[in-house]
Amino acid sequence: MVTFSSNPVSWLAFFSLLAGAPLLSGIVNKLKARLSGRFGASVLQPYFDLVRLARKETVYSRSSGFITRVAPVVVWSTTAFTMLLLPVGPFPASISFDGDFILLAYLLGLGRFLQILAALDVASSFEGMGASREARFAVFAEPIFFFTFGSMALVTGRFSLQSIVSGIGWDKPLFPIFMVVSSISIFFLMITECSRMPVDDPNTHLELTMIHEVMILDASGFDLMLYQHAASLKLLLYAFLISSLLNPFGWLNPVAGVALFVGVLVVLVACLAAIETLMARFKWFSSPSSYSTPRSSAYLTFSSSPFHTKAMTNALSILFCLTLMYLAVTTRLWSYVLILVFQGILVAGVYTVSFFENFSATHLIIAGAVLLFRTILIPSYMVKIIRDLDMGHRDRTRRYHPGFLLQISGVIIAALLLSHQFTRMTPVLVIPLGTALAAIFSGGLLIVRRRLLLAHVVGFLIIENGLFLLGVGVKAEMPWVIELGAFLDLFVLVFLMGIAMNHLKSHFPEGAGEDLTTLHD
Amino acid sequence: MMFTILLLLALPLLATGFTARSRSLEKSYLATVVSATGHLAATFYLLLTRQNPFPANTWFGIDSLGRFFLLILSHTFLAVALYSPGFLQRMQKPEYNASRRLYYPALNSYLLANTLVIVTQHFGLLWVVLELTTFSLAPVIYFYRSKESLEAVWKYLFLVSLGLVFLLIGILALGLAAKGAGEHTSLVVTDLVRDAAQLDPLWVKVAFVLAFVGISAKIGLAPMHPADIDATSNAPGPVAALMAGSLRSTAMLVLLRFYEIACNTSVREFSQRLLMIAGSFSLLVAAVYIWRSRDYKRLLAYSSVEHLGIITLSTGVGGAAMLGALLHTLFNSFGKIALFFMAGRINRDLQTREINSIHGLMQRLPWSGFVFGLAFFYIAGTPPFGLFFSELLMLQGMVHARNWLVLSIFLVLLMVIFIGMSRAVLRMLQSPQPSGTPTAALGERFHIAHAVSLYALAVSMPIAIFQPEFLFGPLRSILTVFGFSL
Repeated sequence: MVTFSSNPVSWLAFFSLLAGAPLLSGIVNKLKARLSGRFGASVLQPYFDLVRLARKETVYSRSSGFITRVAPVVVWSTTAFTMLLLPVGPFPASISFDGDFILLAYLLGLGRFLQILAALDVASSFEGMGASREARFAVFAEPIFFFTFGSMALVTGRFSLQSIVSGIGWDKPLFPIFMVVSSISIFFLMITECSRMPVDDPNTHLELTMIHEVMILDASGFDLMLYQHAASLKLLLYAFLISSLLNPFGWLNPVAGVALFVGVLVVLVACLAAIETLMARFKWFSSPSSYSTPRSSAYLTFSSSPFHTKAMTNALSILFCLTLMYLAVTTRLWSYVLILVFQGILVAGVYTVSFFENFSATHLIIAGAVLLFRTILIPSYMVKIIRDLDMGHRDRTRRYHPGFLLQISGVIIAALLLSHQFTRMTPVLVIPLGTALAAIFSGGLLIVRRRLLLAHVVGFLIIENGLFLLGVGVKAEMPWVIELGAFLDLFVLVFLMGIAMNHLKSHFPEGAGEDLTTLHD
Repeated sequence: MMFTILLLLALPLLATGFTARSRSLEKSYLATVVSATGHLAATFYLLLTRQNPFPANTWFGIDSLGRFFLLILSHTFLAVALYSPGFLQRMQKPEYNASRRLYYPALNSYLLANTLVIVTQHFGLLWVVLELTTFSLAPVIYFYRSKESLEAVWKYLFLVSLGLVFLLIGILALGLAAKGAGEHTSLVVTDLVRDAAQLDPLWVKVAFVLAFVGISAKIGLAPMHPADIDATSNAPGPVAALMAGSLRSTAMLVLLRFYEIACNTSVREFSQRLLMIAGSFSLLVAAVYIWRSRDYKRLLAYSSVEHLGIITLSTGVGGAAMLGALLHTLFNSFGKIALFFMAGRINRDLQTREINSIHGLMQRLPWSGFVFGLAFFYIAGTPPFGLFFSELLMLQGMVHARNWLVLSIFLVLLMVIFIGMSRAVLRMLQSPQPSGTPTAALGERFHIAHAVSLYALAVSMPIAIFQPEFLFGPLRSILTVFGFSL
């Protein structure tokens, strides 16, 4: 049911947002200039630029078609329309309905799509390159947006932006943490989406380095003004989303709400300016990894909503399966170690969530031990082995091979199907159990397929992780002494294997002992 | 009662600590012998009084099965401990320094870990201590610090641990089986046996299969045997004797614990059949590889596969055959002591493990050759040695169960193995030296290893003939626990 705000302030806010958006960009630019020791242009400079552009003649390239003419209007209007969906501090959004955040995401998506098309339309190779870069970022940005807002919808049980914001119960202890993590991911999303510093540099006009700016190189006059204004609207949109999320007084006390709202905005602007001053632009090839922080925090928020135990266990298990797929495509030793660390966190998470309802000191001890052994002790010991043996960065005996990915995927699917069959015999959670089986099988597959001994140890540890998940999946609770004993066993085993690998080096100085095939009949 | 627990567990722990700190091999030897003797004394005390020194309703307890396997463990251990200085004295190369220091601590921790396995009644804890037995021997399997022994210890650690993963899944399945049985059912053996009727048979079946696959890597049953073969054949003599004579028996005990539960449920027939098939397969594999083996230590390792296969098979047959199997475990440990001690000495004196390059052992090493030959007849099941009687009991059981197929497989494969082994061993003992090589005897003197080996071979005879009640009484009561009758 679509509700239109009856509060005139909401509509007033909409128009003032449209008018005030360039001011935010101006403030950021000014602050940036001051931080880097320059005096900088006036905060009103964006307005002057917009006016200047509007008065100029619009020139179209002869090779461009109607898309170039339509795109600026669509980009601007979609972005402007999203402002209608935005709750502004204590005031309700102008328009709100269930699932409006999906509309918001896809309005922005439509604008981006048209912009990419327009960039291709002018038939310049530079702009084509910019378009491809923009598209690549868009691919990563979308899941982050939905993981973040999806988990918020899951937590609050509400589905429109405005009701989500108002439904955040600040009295519950877990909400603040949850919201802070969510806003961090939105903040990083803002940096990438609005082409800010570590990802894109809005100030250079060197075609090779730019992402967003290069797409609008051929736009001029009124069209360019629309693009620029839409960009500043987008920045404002994300900034307001964050401040709305972090606003505990929003719906209780308008005065405190407005004050806090502005306060958060100021902090945000300062952060943005500081980041842009302190950091250099990423290399293009490491840019996609700039998404790793928002991505992981988004996954974290999605999976850490302790209000839906089953959903969370499933989400963590699916993430575990993803680490297995990653294992299949990587040949880097460091990735092996990182996968183990990540899996350790996931395993501990699954454990904590599964026993969340009656969490006791025993559970705490075991969860702590899982974290200690699987994310700290064993990985750091493996790092030590890699360093001591001077193994280099790669699993030299193995090149990347797509077949292995196919096999692991097959194993995961088969394990899930098998686990589904188990439900006929005994009540189990299908996805966690399937994940456990998948881990056990893939660990075995890794041992069989890779020849490097370290990879065998990794495979063994993954099997152990799967075993632990299996125990959680069937809810087999052992006394904590026994569990701790099992961890100790595991550590001793890895320790002994490390010693053995150390000795191997003295026997096979060159290859770190990739072949152990002397003994046979 | 307390003092037996102290002797069984605290003494080996103290000895481990002491030998790890001590720099003198003589003192370490004394400490090890003291702990071994104390352990054996406590075992005999328990056997004679038929007591369980642990309080009831705990994770620990010693039943008849436990007492019997304690005897195997502590007897083998004492023999190995007595021979140790004679072995270490010959390992004077500087590269063995580190190994020599690790030897006694490893041995004592082995005793501790195995005792823990035997006295533990809780399956979860059992898994934990079972891993410890693997770790405890790793440093001494790698005693020679050679490429081969490193490969052997790597494979052993890896494959046995992988096997134990399966075992743990089996234990989890057992937990699932118990979950349906009621609130009070825990993973303690006695509880599970008591509530066996309520256990979910499907999960018991799953648990038994997985546990069997997992533990068979440690028992050394085909097709999980290769790591065991490599480790046993590359470890020094006393360690190999310990592995073949006692470690595998302890692993067998773990299998028997699962079997005990399965036997009291409706999956009894299934588990019996599984054991018979697996045992026959191990016999078959041993028969093939004993013919192919060119290395006498590997040959002996395959003989272990054979005997554990026999034991598994007859355990599956049940009845008198199971009594035979239990006795066979004990007698096999005696034989393995003599065989591996002698193999180790021959290896050190002649510097080769090739069967084909050893000639005229009887002339060159008269004592070792003689004892080795005797031990071969022992392990082949020749009367009057004990193994003959235990195999006779097995045959009796098979006839009684009218299991003619198993009977014929058993007899045919035993014959094939006997011929294969005698071909190799008699050749080593008797074949004339090829012309041109010096035939001088190495001037061997009687050594404590020979005394221990001869004793181990001889002691089986009175046991088999007089059938002392302190040993056979518990054995018969074990059979009733499994639901078999003689």
